Amino acid sequence: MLKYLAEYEQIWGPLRLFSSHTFRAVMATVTALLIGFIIGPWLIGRFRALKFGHGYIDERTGALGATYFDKKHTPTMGGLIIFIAVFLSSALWAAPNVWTVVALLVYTALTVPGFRDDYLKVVHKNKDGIRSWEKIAWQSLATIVALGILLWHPQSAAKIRELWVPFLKTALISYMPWWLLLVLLYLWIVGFSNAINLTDGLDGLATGCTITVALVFGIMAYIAGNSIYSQYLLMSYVPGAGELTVVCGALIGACMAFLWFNSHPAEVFMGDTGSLALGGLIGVMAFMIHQPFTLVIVGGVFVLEALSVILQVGWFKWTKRRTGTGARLFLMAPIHHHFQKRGWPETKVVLRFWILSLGFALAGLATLKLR
Amino acid sequence: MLDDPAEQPLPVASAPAAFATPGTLIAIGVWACLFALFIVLGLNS
Repeated sequence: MLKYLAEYEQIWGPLRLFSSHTFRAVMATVTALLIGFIIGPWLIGRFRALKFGHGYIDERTGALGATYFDKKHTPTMGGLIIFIAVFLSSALWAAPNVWTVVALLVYTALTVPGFRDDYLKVVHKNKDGIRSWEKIAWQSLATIVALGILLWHPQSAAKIRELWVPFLKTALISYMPWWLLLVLLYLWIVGFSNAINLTDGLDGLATGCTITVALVFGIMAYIAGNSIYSQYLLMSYVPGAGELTVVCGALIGACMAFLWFNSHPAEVFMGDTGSLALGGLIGVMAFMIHQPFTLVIVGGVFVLEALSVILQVGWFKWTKRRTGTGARLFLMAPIHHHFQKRGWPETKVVLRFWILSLGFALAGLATLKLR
Repeated sequence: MLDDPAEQPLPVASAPAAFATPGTLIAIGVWACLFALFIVLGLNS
């Protein structure tokens, strides 16, 4: 909202800086990083109190009841650190418009079931968490509300109906029917929500990959919101979408701060609070800047993780039906556990998946010129 | 007997701290107002 300060540049010239997307994106990154570093240790302490009462101290012996490296005792719900940092930083530095409102609405709508799920599991020791229908209801609500606003608002009503695919110079479909929009948006929000949820199994894996994806989509949102660059790169021009660069900046900063605490051995996990919502946020942003299929390339690690689970379950069921004994394609799914079972140390798996993620990010950026 | 350390009852694990403290509720309230303002400004832009 600090963008409004740019209107007073006649009073003090340097205030015009607040109209620059790049300046505000950098400031959003720094702000989210600082917020994460400030609230991180406090919230982690709070989560420990929620889970263990007296933390790690065994009351009988006074000794450490659980070692620092014991994952069973690492607090979860760390996604709340990312949520607070992203939200405050975005609200401060991004200009409110239909794109930023929808992005933050979806992010909030998916943080709620994730938080409830973690809360039930951790505090109420309910190992099942929230019921699957409740999770689906929240995801459906997020999709319907987002689509309703996008179809209703004059700035987005026509733009959102275009379907763009990589490698094509023009829109594949220039006016999608509402039902197709609903199906696609639902698939992207729910699909990436669950894909990041599955990826979040090793210290820093989902967070690191989210940073590379947010970086690429920050660049793409900047181009999509700029009439000159989008025309030069033959991309869809989406007026106002440049503000999503600021949201991506906030997301990068928040994830960097979270990664500080989530790096191996993790002091905190993001839990469903983080993973479900991050997937939804990335999915809806990719959709709004007309790059949904580019997300499949850029978020390749998330796609591979989800595919590994689908293939593992599918192959097991199919072989069981045909031979009576279920066979497995991987030693364990999601695929990061397959490599762990093969003897790779956790940090090696994470670093190699980050390298993969960087490769996918570069491949996604390359699609900008291949049209 | 009760003097015997082995007979001492094990301490009961303390209940988890409540999350919905007044501070948390105020923070949620402030966040809700900020979000509402953001939505109103955004949808009227």
